[in-house]
Amino acid sequence: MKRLWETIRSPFQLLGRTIALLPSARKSHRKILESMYSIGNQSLVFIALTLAFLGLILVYQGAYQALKVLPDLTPVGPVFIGTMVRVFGPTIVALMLATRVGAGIAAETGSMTVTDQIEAMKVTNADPVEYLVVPRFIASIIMMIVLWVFGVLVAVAAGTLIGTLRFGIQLRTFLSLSGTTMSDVWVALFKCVIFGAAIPILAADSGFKATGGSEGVGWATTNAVVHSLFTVILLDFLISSIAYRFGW
Amino acid sequence: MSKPLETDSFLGNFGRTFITAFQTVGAMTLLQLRIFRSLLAVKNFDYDESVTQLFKVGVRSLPVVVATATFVGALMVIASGNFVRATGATTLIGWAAGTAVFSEVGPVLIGLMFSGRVGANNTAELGTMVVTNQVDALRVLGIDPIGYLIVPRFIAMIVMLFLLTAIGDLFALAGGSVACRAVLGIDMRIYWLGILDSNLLSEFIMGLVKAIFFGGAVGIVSCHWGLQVTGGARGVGRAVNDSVVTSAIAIFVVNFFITVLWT
Amino acid sequence: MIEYVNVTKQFGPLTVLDGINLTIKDGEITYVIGSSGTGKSVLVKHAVGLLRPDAGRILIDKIDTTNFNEQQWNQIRMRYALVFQHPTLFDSMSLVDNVALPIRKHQKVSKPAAKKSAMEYLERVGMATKADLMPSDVGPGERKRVSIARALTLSPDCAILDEPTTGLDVVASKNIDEMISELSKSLGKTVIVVSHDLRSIFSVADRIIFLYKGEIRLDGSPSAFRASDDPVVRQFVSGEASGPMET
Repeated sequence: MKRLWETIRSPFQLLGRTIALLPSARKSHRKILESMYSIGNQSLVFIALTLAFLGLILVYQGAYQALKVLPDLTPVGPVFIGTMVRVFGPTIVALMLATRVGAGIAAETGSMTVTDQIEAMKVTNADPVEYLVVPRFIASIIMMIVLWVFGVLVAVAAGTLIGTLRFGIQLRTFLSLSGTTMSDVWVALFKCVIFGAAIPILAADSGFKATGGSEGVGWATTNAVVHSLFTVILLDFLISSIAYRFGW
Repeated sequence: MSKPLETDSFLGNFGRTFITAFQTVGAMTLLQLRIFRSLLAVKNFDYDESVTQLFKVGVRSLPVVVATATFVGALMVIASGNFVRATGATTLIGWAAGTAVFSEVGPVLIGLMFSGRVGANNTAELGTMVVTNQVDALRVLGIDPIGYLIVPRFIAMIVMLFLLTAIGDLFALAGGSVACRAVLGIDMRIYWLGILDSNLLSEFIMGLVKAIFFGGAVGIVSCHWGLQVTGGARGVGRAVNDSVVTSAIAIFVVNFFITVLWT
Repeated sequence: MIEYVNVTKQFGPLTVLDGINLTIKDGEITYVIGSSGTGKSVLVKHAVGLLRPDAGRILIDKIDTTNFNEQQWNQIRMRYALVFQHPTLFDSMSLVDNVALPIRKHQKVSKPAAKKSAMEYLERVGMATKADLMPSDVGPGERKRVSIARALTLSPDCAILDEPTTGLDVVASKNIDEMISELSKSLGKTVIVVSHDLRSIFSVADRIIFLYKGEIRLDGSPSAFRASDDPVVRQFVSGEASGPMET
């Protein structure tokens, strides 16, 4: 039980320290941009692939079920786009980011920890949180939003292809924004910020706790992925519930 | 690495990713063939080790999968909430949640979680063994690493993900029913009736078939990246990263093809 | 019997073995020596197919192994057991389970039967009292002894030990030396030892092969070595830091 509490407490501590150090980020423009580039570079192809297939499957299933139950294909496009923007976009992109970037950050900080580089930083009065975590924290939030937009576009493109070619839906009927509201966008943006913040914190936290050589780094990376995946889903649930209750 | 692959242009990077992707798929296919060949030699099947792995995999992943599935089910219900509120079709909630969970969301998200919990762990274990020469030690003792290390894990992952998806699906439905009442304010009976009314057997089975293939995919992917580790601690970290990423792609791709072929 | 016929092995630009011709005779204790990184490990790894020669052939019991597949090598490895330099015990299982694994796999017995058999091997290397500990709980010398025990479960005709005393204190080293002696004298096994531990070399070896710059510099008995006037050999034997030897 005590370990569970410690597992929950430690990332919050890191989060606290990171936020406290945010003002100092003003002088690390370059590192933030580097981080952003790195995250984007690593994830672009990956997100494109997974979100494309997601779009394909959502439209396929959606149209198939609509034909079975309604049978009318007009709502498929708008509902698909609305759910992509609000639900699947942030969530799936975040899950993918958790596996790609989260694992990457954990592997990096983990191997730095087991090779005592973190200790070395502390000893020379450089704060590892300031140097390693803060830039990635900011970069991750920004890139999460960017990649959400990118992911939604890719998924919609793929979905449109299959909707028009396979199911013969009219392009104009499909690409309608009638299923998407402004509040959908706001909720989605909020989710992106929260997810984008959570992933690097959890990943770095796991990395800093790594012990014992290659086994430790492997453990840290696994831990980061599992915690990030679960936390994204948990937070998603909380945010969605609250948003629904307030009619957003 | 030979010179031609060392470009840093965008197109170069793209091309290199493509080539690497092909190489990876090729290597994984080879590994799959070796696994099948080992399985065919039935008398060499390591029953003891397979059972051990089954327990390890199952015990490790059950809590996390169950927890994830419950929240995913709840999420699905909330997501359909808006739609239901707009159209007033409350009776569709059960059907919507049931279909989504059984056929798509259940297997995929449970598969992703499984890949994180078990796949990553597996890659890390195998990778560490490679780096510390334990895999060579097996060969030198005349023990085939494929038969002893890989096949039991492969089998264990398929069996376990199958079971976990079945169990997880049910927990997802349960989570959905709680969300239905607590968040949407709809009576749980309507929810459960909606599920029971719709004949979801075909979707349920399709989901389980997907789970079998996802399990196999996570197995091959995680073992492949574990076995090819070079470079100590950093190499293991990188391999785990590659392992979960590749698994995720595989899950999405396989998911699409099974859905299309099944319906 | 292992024969190296004109064996050459390169790693990138570095030629580690250059046309090696060598016959390991049965029943003897042969030491392969040379300073660190001169290819001693590379040489013995060829004997069990962990490495393949770039040129030349390796004959084991007169059979050419050039086109051997993994399965055929596995047969060889049962008779020519290699013990690695660095501890390669399986760190996820206890010491006794480590030794029991090859017994269970090769003799197709149940886990409890294999464990019992494993305890006997552990007794022989003096590690029976620590059977249930994990590899990380014991010191390097003890881990070395357990890996030797594990290799012996194959009932090999020949044991190949890669730097068995490197990194051990004098007492542990002497223990290993005694074990090597017993393997050969009492059990009649062929033993090949890779080493640069001078004390061990001169107390146990029947025959010494000195590898230098990819070639066999000297091949003979310990007394032949002591009597040699080759300046490189003299430098190695005396352990001097300066001299004609390039390391």
